[in-house]
Amino acid sequence: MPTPASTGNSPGQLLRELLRDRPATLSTLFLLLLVFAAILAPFVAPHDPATQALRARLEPPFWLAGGSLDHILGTDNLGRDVLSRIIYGARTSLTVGLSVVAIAGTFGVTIGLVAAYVGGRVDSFVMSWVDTQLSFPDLLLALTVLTVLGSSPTTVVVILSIGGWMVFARMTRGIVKSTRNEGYVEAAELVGCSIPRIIFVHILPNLAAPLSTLLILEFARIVLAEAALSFLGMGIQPPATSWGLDIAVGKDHIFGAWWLVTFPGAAIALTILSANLLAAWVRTTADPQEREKRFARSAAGRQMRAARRVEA
Amino acid sequence: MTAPLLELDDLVVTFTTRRGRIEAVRGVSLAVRPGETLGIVGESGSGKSVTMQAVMGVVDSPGAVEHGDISWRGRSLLAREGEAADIRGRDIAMVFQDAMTSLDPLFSIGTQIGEVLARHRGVTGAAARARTIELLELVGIANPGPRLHYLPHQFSGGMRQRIMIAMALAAEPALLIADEPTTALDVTVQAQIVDLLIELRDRLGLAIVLVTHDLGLVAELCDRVAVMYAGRIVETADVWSLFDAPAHPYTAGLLKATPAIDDLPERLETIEGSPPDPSDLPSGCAFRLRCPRADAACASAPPLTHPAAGRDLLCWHPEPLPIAASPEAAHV
Amino acid sequence: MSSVPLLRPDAAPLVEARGLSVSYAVPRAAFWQQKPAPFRAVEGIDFSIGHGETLGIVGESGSGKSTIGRALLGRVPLSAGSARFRGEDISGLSGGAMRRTRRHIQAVMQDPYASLNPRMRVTDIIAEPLVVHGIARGAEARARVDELLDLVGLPPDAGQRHPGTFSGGQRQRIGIARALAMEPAFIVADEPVSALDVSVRAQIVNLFRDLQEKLGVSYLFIAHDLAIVRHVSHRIAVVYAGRIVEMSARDDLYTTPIHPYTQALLDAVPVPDPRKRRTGRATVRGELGAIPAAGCRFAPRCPLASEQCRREAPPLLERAPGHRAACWNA
Repeated sequence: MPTPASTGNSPGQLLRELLRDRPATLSTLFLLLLVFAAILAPFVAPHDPATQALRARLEPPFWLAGGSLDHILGTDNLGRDVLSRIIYGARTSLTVGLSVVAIAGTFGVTIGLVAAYVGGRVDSFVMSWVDTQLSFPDLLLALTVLTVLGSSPTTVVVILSIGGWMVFARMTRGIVKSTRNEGYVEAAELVGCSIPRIIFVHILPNLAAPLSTLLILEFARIVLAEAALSFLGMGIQPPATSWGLDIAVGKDHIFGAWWLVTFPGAAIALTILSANLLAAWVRTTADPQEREKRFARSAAGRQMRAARRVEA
Repeated sequence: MTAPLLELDDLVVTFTTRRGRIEAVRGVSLAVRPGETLGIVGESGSGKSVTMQAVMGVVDSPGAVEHGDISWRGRSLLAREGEAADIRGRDIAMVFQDAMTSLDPLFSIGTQIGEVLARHRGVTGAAARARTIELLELVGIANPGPRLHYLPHQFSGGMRQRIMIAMALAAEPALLIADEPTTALDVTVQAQIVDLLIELRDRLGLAIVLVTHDLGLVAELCDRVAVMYAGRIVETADVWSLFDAPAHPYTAGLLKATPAIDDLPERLETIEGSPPDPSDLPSGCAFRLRCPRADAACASAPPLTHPAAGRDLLCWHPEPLPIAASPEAAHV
Repeated sequence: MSSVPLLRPDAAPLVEARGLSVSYAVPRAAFWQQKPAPFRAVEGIDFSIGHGETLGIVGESGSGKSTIGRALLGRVPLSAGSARFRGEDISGLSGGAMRRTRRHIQAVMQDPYASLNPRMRVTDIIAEPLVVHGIARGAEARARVDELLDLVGLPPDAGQRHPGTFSGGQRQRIGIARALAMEPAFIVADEPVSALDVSVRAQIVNLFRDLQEKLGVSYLFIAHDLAIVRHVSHRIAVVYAGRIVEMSARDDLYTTPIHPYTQALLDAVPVPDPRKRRTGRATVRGELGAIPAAGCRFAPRCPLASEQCRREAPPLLERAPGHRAACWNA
């Protein structure tokens, strides 16, 4: 009789597996750092991000001549502390990113579920709607609406949500449709389960893994979109801070004060990169076959390193 | 006795998984001689398919050949990679269970067979076309000329299996490995494919390794049988004496549990329990927990014995063999 | 099989199919084309199943044998004919009535790996029918599950585990326990052992028979393996291209097959004995392909086919007591 196989999905085991994957570990650490910075911004930021100090304008980072430890990453054209602005900017990016992903995700999953389960005309109507909206450039849509309605953080979130739900709907529909053909869903129908029970007990749990991958990827895309809108002046408005806004300000000083665009830019890049690496890890972990292959690769790597140590 | 074509010597194939190291093949030795048909019988997880994947060099990650040797006409396939790639596919060809997934859906069958001809026989152009038509006729596809540009999905399941066989034969192999070649087919179609394999064997002098779980197919087609259980060959014998007098309790149980169509439908005899989990095999003989003849001795690994001519056995307590049963005499 | 409860001729059948037909709409290839005629998956199927009886349905893939089972389970609508359970027409049932009937008609599915939700514990899987029909929950349901586990030969601790930790045969036992939870009178088993290993197949076949003796349940046992069907059925129907071509008591079919297709099927099955190798080549050529517009559907492959076969479909007629076949020339 086979022994109960460990499914390998206990939190401890997942953590160990994450720690074995260096890029994924570093990405997670960076994202966690970002979350902490955003939550604890008033305590960790050395300065108020909006306080101007015109005498301390365009100070370089501390390791360059003229820099000081007071402003580790230097100051901008109004003498505001770059590091503090990045920390507060993380707040904006995370808030916008998470809100949009939450709203678009909930809406998209619901619509996709309905389309897949009702099928027929409802399905083809919803899917044509998705296709139509996907074919429209969403940044253009956002710019148009923001120009007409005026910009506020809420408007930004709403407009990005309107442009972001379709991928969730499409993925949910696909997964629900294929899961409905699974033997155990048919068995549940034969047993006489009600439709809500079939959806919530038998079908939706299959959505967890792909949905988390997509949520992370979409989060990255939204962070980028918010930065782009703010850069174009249609997103977050001063005195609030945003990485995109900072880059917009910094571009006027790009030759004299490179640090104004570099550091917020790096923050954006690292956030996107981390999110993508983490999403890749989640996707591999959710696929049993890929997961075994990754394990075999890392096991082979460990063996090789151990052999080299013995030789040395 | 002629020199064997294919020889496996103490082959071990392992898979590294999160649940630990799994030995799928645990020291398999066997030989296939020219023109002979060897059946490899086993249940899922017995390692029969993995053994043949190792022969063809297509063991998927995370699996790897860890120990032992595979040789073709006395030369190791594992030692020289470049040459081995030529031998595999040319001298040893393989037919899989599912022809639909083994044929490329995007290319016509003519192109796919032509590719084998070009790669392994250096035949191209009009000669290749003529040869392809010849091959398709050989496997019983009527009027093949106009159908060369058909895509795989335009054929029925049985036809696709015939095309797979034609493709395997294109390189003029000496050995054809057929892994469950008829499992996906209906019985009436299976009978046609079996007829084809017998005809090809007799006409071309092919050696065939038939990997299957179906003892009926083995009885129909094979000269010699190797029974695999949990990664080991537990019994090898010629087909007549194996079905007459199985020596290993697993072989005996398998034969009793296989209902024949002309059997009186009394209660089926069964083998207790389930095939073992390859990651958690019992010590000693892997069959001992299901075996009616097992005792304390079976906790240590059974030795390889030769209770009769041409028979190899891994068992401490074999079923009693009838004395001097001449297999040839029994046949007539 | 001495304890076979024979169908009492006077007793009303438990399940009855009369002219049961199912057809599927075929989507048109392009929107300007005419809608093609629907695909007739099964047509004019007649049979009845008594209490405690097993009807075996044998056929090749694409023969429509699974469709018959699906029709009885209410998974596909009938295009003609009727299906009755205890005299009540169940083909048109929907909603609540369907759910009530469903309590008495259960299914064992082919693939024991796919048919159990990998995320649920075995107890919850087996108890699911009890819970959704409001029959038992909590401790009561658990007690019933323990009984069922024992009945199908699983250890009592099996309930706490997930399906992934069981072998194929054990999973099929779980599937059978789930089907039995509602104490159904009738079980549709579609290829319930074809995904199992040879050594385990016999165990499950025996389990089906034991349960029938103990519980008096009736089966529709759908399979392609003629040897297995012989071991579980009282009567057997051979299906070809959506029609019953031959139907008889179990042993008559094997000893005196009438229809050339049945004969070909029996000839084609390899016997696990090298002394009984098939002699000569397979008599039936080709494969189940497009259904001919008129006449006998087996005619394109039949060695006996005549002009009449291509013109007129043969009726299913009684050739011997309880032995019906549909062939002009046999």
